Amino acid sequence: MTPQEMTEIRNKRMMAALNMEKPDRIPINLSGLGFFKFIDPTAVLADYFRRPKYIDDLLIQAAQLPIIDEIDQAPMVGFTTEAGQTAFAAMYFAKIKLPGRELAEDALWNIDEQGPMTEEDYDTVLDKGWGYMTAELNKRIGFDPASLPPPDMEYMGELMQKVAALGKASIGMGGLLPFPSFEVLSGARKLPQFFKDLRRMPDKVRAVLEIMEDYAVDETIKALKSGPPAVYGFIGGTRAGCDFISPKVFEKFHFPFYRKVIPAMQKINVKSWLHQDSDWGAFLHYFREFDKAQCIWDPDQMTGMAKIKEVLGDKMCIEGDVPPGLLAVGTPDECYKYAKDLCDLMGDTGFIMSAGCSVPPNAKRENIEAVILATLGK
Amino acid sequence: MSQKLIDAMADLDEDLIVSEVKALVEKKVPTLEIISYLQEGMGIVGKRFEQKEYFLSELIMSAELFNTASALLGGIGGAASSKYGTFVMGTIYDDIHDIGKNIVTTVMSSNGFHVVDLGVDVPTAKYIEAIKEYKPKVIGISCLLTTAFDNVKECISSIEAAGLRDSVKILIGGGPVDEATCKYVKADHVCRNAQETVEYAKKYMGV
Repeated sequence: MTPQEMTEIRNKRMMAALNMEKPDRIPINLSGLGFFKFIDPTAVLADYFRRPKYIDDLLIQAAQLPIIDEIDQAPMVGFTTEAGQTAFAAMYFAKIKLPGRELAEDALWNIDEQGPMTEEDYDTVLDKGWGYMTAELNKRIGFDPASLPPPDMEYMGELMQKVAALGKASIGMGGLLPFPSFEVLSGARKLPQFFKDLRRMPDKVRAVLEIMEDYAVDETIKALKSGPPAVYGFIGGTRAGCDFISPKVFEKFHFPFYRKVIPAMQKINVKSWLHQDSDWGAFLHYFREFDKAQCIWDPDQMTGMAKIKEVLGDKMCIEGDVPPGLLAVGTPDECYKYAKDLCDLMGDTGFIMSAGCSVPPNAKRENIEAVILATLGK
Repeated sequence: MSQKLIDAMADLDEDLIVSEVKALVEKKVPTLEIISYLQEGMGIVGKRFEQKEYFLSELIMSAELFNTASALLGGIGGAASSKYGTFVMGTIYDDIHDIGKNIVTTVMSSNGFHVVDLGVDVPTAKYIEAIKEYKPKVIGISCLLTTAFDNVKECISSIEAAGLRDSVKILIGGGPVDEATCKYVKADHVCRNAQETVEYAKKYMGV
């Protein structure tokens, strides 16, 4: 079979899951940042920034290892750069701490929250808009998007050819889209201060969020329209689950973002990939209002797949949720059992096998293999 | 007795907390007494959290407000809050997450423990120094990154190598931390939240 034919099969498999139809088998999305160690155990996470081409090469080799090659998703090459991580952190108006620079050689990069926005800035947003405020806050944290080095298009072209030769799924994800406005504002103010704002001046916070949400939706649609065709867009959420905030706060301050962005994306035929860390159990039912097969629910291990299936199983594709801790320190038998039980629970329609949140860089190869084998029923 | 301060703390009313603490200081009410009102208010916050009337957002806020009020009193000295002994806590090295740690340290402090907060990205040597200096019966290690599990394991192993392991119970907590992690790093207990930390520590100390 040629790589193109393989890609076609995998794309069909992924699309069936996303559309909540029955695929030929459960798709497997288990690519991990640390797979380079399966080829060179001496390489470290700092090498992503020190010798990125070497790491890309190792990741491509790792994707071809027996059993690991059953993963449908492409290896995570090409985008874990210093510029990319800096831009990612800046979405929360935060700085990034990198391995080999501020952190140990094999430490995971950390987001260092700055909270540059003042209470007076709420009025500035009301007066001058969120675009103006974004530029101002970026200045305050010393981030200049224009100063980021442009991607090396020639190298990226070569890399994409190497990835294409692997025959992995190639369905498009829209670029880095704005995070929910509630999360962005909490980063801009810093979490404790933001929660105090919610209590002290709820109407002003809501008014600012209204402006931010409309801005974020416009930016999202612009980004999706300007890039290559996307099947889905990634929307990340990490600090607004039902353990964090009350249903009242969620309804008034957070959910309006989803109500705006999901239908707007649907209008241009792009699904919403909802990466939802922390416990969302008591908030799942809100998401039933969206049309069937327009969202993908991508949790960490905190919510629980049984609950997600019970509430959203007939509405959207669900990905998950082998715990990262289990992949890092569990045994292959434990991982196999978890994945097997998960397959039995979720069935083969509208489900993608993955880790909760993401595969940790220190996941053991034998544990990843155990999850794959369990998914394949071997 | 300042029911006003207790209620202000319980209701997370920052302006009222600040004005009432200042008023009590002006009236020369002893610092320990003012702290006891704040602690009582924090106790109500904890109960409301257990009853799901409050959420993590309120706990985070309460920690901030408690610290703001404490700062007005010149900080909470060891003697002021060491009714149940000392609790040492930090976030393990290579990890700078502080929200969970801050909640736990404040809730422990408001529950009568003398808290030594080592901060974030804490090296093993600092834990060992703190154990030697403060002789806590319980310490807490926060870890939000799966990649830092080995650091927690190394830290606990070094505490053991320094001959200090038998003198302390080591609690761990953080998003990805579970029973399997506890076994792997050889900690004594996983705490899911701040209240569980309080309960474990009180039970262990026979309070």
